[in-house]
Amino acid sequence: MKHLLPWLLLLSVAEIAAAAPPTPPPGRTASDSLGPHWSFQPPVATPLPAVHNTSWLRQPIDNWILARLESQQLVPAGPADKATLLRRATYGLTGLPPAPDDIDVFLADDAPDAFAQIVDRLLASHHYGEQWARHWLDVVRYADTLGGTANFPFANAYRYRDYVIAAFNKDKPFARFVQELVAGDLLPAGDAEVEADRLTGPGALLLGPYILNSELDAAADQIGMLTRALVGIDVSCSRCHDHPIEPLTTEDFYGLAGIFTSTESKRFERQLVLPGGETVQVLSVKEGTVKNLRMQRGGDPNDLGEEIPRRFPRILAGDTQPPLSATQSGRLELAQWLTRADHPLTARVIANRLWQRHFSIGLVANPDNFGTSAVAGPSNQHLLDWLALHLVERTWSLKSLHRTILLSASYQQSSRILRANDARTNAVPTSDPTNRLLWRQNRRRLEAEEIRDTLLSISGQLNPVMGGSLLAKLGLGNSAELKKNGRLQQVVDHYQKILQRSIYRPVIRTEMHMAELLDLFDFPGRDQMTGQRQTSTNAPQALLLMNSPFVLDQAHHTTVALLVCRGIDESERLQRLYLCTLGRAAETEEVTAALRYLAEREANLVEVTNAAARRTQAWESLCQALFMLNEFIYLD
Amino acid sequence: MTKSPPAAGWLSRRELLQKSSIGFGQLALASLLAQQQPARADRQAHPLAVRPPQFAPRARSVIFCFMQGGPSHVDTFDYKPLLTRNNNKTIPLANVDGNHGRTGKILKPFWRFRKYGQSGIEVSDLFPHIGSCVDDICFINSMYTAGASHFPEQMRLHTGSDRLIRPTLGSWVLYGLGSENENLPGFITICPCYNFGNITLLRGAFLPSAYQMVPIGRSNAISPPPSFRDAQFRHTQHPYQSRSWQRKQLDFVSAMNRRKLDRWGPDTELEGRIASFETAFRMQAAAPPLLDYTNETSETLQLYGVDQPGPTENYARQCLLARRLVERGVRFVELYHAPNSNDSGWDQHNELARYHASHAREVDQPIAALITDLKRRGLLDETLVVWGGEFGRSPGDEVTSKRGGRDHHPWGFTFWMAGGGVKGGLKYGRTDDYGYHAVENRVNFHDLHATILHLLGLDHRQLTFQHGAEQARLTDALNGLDGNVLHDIMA
Repeated sequence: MKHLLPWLLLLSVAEIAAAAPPTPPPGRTASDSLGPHWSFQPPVATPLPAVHNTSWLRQPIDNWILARLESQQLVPAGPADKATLLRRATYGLTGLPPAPDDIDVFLADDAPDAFAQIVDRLLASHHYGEQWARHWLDVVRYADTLGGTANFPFANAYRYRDYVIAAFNKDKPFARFVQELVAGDLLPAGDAEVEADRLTGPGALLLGPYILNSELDAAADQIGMLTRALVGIDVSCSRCHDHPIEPLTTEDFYGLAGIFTSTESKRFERQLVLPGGETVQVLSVKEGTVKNLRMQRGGDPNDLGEEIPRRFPRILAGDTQPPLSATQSGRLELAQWLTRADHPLTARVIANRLWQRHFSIGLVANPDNFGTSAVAGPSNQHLLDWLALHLVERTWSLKSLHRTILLSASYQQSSRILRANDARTNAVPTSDPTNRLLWRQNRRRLEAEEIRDTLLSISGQLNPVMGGSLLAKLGLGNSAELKKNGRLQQVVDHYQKILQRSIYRPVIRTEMHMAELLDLFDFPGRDQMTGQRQTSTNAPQALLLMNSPFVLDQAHHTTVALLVCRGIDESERLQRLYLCTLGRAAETEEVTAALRYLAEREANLVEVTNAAARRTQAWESLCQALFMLNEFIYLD
Repeated sequence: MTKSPPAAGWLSRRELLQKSSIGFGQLALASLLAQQQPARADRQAHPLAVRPPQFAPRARSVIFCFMQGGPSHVDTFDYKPLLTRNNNKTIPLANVDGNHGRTGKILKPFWRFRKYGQSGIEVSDLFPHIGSCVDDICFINSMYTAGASHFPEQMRLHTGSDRLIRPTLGSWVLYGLGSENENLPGFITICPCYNFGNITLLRGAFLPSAYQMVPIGRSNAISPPPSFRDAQFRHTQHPYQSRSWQRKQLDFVSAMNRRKLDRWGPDTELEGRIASFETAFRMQAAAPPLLDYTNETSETLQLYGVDQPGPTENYARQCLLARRLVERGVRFVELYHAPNSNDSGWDQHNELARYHASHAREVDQPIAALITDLKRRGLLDETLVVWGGEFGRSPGDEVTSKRGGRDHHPWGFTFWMAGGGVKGGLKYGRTDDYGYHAVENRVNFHDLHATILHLLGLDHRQLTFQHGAEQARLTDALNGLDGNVLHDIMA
């Protein structure tokens, strides 16, 4: 299959002339110069496999999934019921529960494209950007402070965060997004929006933690983040010695490191005029003194070896690479090389990240490791390649890839293990007990922010305002050491009052525990990038849901809103509560149980003389009980 | 013998077991009975129920004092006079290779060694208090591991694998034996370090979530670590709902959860979550008193070093809590001594004399007190105390710094164990004359795991979990590896 070079899709001819390096970007000349590892070869287009059960197919994705299932004599699960599907998709794309009205409308809509309409609506919602920016911020180890003892703020980090949200919302082509991250400052100038984006994009390079003492430490942090985030290998690991497992050498590290040490990035800010006319500062980079590095033998800065020309890792870019510009750092060439249509990794890695979020596990199980040290290869390489090629063909549109995935029969399967027609039989096949082949959907627990945002959203307390910065509001600039003058306490005091979505709360590297709910539900440390969060289950989480003021507050506000509705009876009220907490109607048996619970609770509250107060407390207790349900924090 | 007042419920049961002096015999009998019965179907419904060991155990609880960063063996528990004699000379051994490709000249130990106890085992002046306990301690001087990077070796030490996300030792133990105190989590970590992916070390991975650890307090690599004085179990009291009604509330939740499980099929993660609410409910009464040390005698507080502010206070509180936890039947306690803002734990590439000294001051007295206190309460026999880090430190100096530090050293280092059925006053295995390679009775982390499990009455080859197609176990994380039980160190 022939592809246009991706930046041809993104830049005009004039822009290319302005931006292109004097020599063509380096690339592999012959595939036999590569190692045999699958992920170091470009994706290959393979004809869709034939399957028997063609009536199941909805998207090309399904051919790949079903062919594997059929080869193992496995049968896909039936489709998820509509309410489950709506809840799954709404959380997947926006991180929030479906609104009760939307549930009613969707359940009543029998049109064949009803779900496609929902997907389009969700992708058009600004909550989509908030949800997917959140995933991306994990990947670039985003934080609002440096960490360490002094814990200096990155006063303008939030502008990068807001840029990412906007980028997802306007479906900025992923290749362009990568180019702005790596070398936005070197891309051609444009209108105010282009300027703001290209200068804000590199901000993530500066967000490393405090442990970076030297220029080389900072470069290693940037290389570690970028290579794991974008191409699923970690070149920073070969800083002191050749990588013990991957085909990466110390020279590969110094080749890249020279590019980043030729860039000025230490706490650097640029002035920027936003499209609205406001003049602001953003974290950014600029070209520094361009020079190759000499290798530090064994990581010893006093023991310098030979000079290593700036270049890209050999295993990916080949042994013979045209020299990088002598007057520029090489970031521009790097950005262009990373976003080549035939780059073996960039499209695969991001496609896998999308897949991972929609199926709970990637086709490559560790989304940050596509190298030879990965424990297992992709569970379905043809499918992964299909997704990568599809992404590039669709001009790197992530929204388009989401749509393709969500409209597949594979995605829309039920997650049930017991099959409806034989409810007593455990349907887990011995040939694939962990569901790597996707004979059903995977159940997933909501992530920390989703849990908090859901509680606030149900209770009506969620502040819908987008963007902003607590640090800015408190007037804390880049040099405001948080440990001094009670500043940290100031941040802590105001922190709990931020009732916007969780993504808008600052990430204070040393104080993760102050965001208690997020912390308990596995918000990751932001010292290193994290492509996949862990899911822990423990008693402190339960205690938080049972007793914490935050959860009780949300139960209270939910109750007040419910009880304020007049002209409906208690079982209708219950239906509303079930709809907004669990995304489905309550079954008759559940209504009976809940009504009994309310009645008993009221009767039990003998010490409360006021009948209205008794009723409120009873409903609060019921709301809270629903918040504790497995079904509440798991998506089927 | 000092006894703290018995806590309600289970402690008295435990004392009954102790007094009847057939406690372990009874367990062994139960184990025989269990072997005659096929698979235990109740694991799903009662994941934390006490499970009899596979054979008569020597220990019933473990306290693991994890020294993150890699403490030096040649400065602590592995006395090598030749290092002092040949200071600053080249190590005259073939096959000498530093972490980063070269190793420096011999760097003599920074502290004097003295003989302690009846066994006369040498311990350096870094650890005078632990020195005074040598007759209760078995030093394994012949540890070795495969790699020289912190995180992979910390992973291997905890999970048996340097790369895969596998269940951690504590989760395996809890899975194997269940919890003796249904009011508390069976696996508690004290001040775990959350930075740099460290929590991966403590994961239950594919084991059902009921076997995951519960942390209290935290270490922090990049800010001053919060004092353990401030650590608490949070949210143990509903502000206005009575506990009896909360019980009804949880029953309502549980019934709905069960109903759903019955319809959708089994899910160990969801089962674990149901169990976590039950533990949480009981923790409300059981947890707060744990951190209230007012019923400890001043002599005990003094013994640990809790009584006055100073370098020992923080770790002393952790050690004292560890004793209180095993006393209440918590199965596995892991204590962290981890990096903080001023240094990087025991990882002294530079200024080892200064920083090893400050770390040792923090942990020496508390750990010795823990051993002493467990012993006088009759708990040391059944509590295995384990001490060590992910590797040792090089007998040669750190080439890249030349500022009085040592490099990572995986080829020979020291772990020690006390109580729990191991012989005291024993040095097991040895390194060569320069403390470089483990040369006799070599022990790796798989062997260590196999031995710890054996002391608990568990056969590491039989303690398995069906994970996908694999019969997963702690000592077979990478294919073909196995562990050897160190029968020679058992009393």
